[in-house]
Amino acid sequence: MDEMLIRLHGLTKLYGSQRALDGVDLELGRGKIVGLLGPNGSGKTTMIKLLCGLLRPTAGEVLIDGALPGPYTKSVISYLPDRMYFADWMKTSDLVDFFTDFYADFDRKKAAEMFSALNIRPGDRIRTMSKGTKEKVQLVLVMSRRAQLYLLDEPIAGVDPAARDFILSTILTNYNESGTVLISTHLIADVERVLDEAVFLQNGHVVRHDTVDHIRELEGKSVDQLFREIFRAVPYQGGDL
Amino acid sequence: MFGKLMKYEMKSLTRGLLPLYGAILAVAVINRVLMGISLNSGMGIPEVIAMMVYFGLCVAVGVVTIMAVVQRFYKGLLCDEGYLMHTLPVRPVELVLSKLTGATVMTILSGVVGVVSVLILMSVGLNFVDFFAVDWLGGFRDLFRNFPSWPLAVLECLLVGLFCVTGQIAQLYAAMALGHLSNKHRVAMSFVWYLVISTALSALLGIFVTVANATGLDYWLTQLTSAMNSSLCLHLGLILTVLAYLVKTAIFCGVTNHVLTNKLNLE
Repeated sequence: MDEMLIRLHGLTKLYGSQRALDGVDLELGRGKIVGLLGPNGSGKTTMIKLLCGLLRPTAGEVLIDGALPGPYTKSVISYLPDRMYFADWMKTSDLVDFFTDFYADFDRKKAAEMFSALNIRPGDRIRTMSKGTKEKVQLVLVMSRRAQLYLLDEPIAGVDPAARDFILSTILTNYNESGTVLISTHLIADVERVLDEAVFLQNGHVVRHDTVDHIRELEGKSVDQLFREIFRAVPYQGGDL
Repeated sequence: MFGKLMKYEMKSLTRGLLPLYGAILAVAVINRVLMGISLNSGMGIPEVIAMMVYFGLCVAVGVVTIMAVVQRFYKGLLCDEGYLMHTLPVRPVELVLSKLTGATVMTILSGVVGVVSVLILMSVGLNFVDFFAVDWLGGFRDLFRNFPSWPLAVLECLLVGLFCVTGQIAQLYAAMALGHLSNKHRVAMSFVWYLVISTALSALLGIFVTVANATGLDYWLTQLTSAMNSSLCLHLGLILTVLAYLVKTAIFCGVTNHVLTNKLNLE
């Protein structure tokens, strides 16, 4: 077992001529909740997709538990994308069967309990669910695995504050504590209280990687305040005529 | 894992097609009954309507089968559902082969249902007494005497049909996978790739025939086949056809697997 769960070496991803990630070097250990923080377009989703094997790097290397992305790394990663990835004809019970079949670390009992607490019945079809319920179903399935790495892409974007609390508490109470949770977001104030470490991404570069406690101690400010400082955009105030 | 992938693939494919199969067979039976009644009195409006519904369903089965084959691959692997399928702990080749196997089974099943429905319609006026009075056993005995290896030829014909289907589906998959490499207009680019591949295959065949003519290869082939007995010649032809379709299937599956393994670019 590799001491570091994630190792990225010179990771670069180009979309045409546009550089989404540019020579990223990063190492993340085990048993942590890490915030992948950056404004829109900074490369957060690209990095997560490279980690779970949905994209191939243009250059550089991704190692998860010492292995290149493939069937092994996919068996230890639980991924929550920023969109719905289920076929809408499926029922909740179909999805539970699907996860049971493909993921040895899926806890069927835990998923059933969480669905029951949310009043989601096994016979409910995805097609008939509201957007919020679909997101909850996806979150329940992802967090019912005892994965080594949870990759959560913008889990609290576009939901109301009550739903944010539900999502964060679901993550905190259900993740495998010997595993690592990587949460990508630009809503720092909401997640700051749960983070152990923060990785700041800007224009495809890691501009800072530190523990949250160290940031607070060294900078004398919260991660949210530091984020606003690093990513401050000067508003256009009119041109001189 | 392949078996599990197949389980979900078949569940997804049969969901839309099985009710259509049931409908087409039921309408064929209704047509058969109406035709039996009107055998002497001629076709009335109910018979015409029933026949139109039957032909409509035949077209629907064909269209829905092609749509299902294309959609299960495109939506399942290259759109949002791809986020789930490509993060499963399986190799991309297993994903491609499960899609190909499922699509082939359903295409063949659609064909079989079509043939069965036609047989139901053709049974109008069939006299079962006459049918069983035919000396089928004697007929088979004659067939074995004149063409002893006919079961092998039947098997080879079935294999030609099977791999012709897999070759066509694999070509569709390769076109969609190559179209997916474009950053924009991926659906349109998939159509373009399909046309390019089809044109290239026709051109290759044309080049082969031209070269065979120019080099005298066709003359040698004619000499060779005339030296063989007709049965051997038929088997050789069928086996070569099977091999050609197998190679086509393998090449296009290889292209698709290469794109999904090394160039996957889900947006």
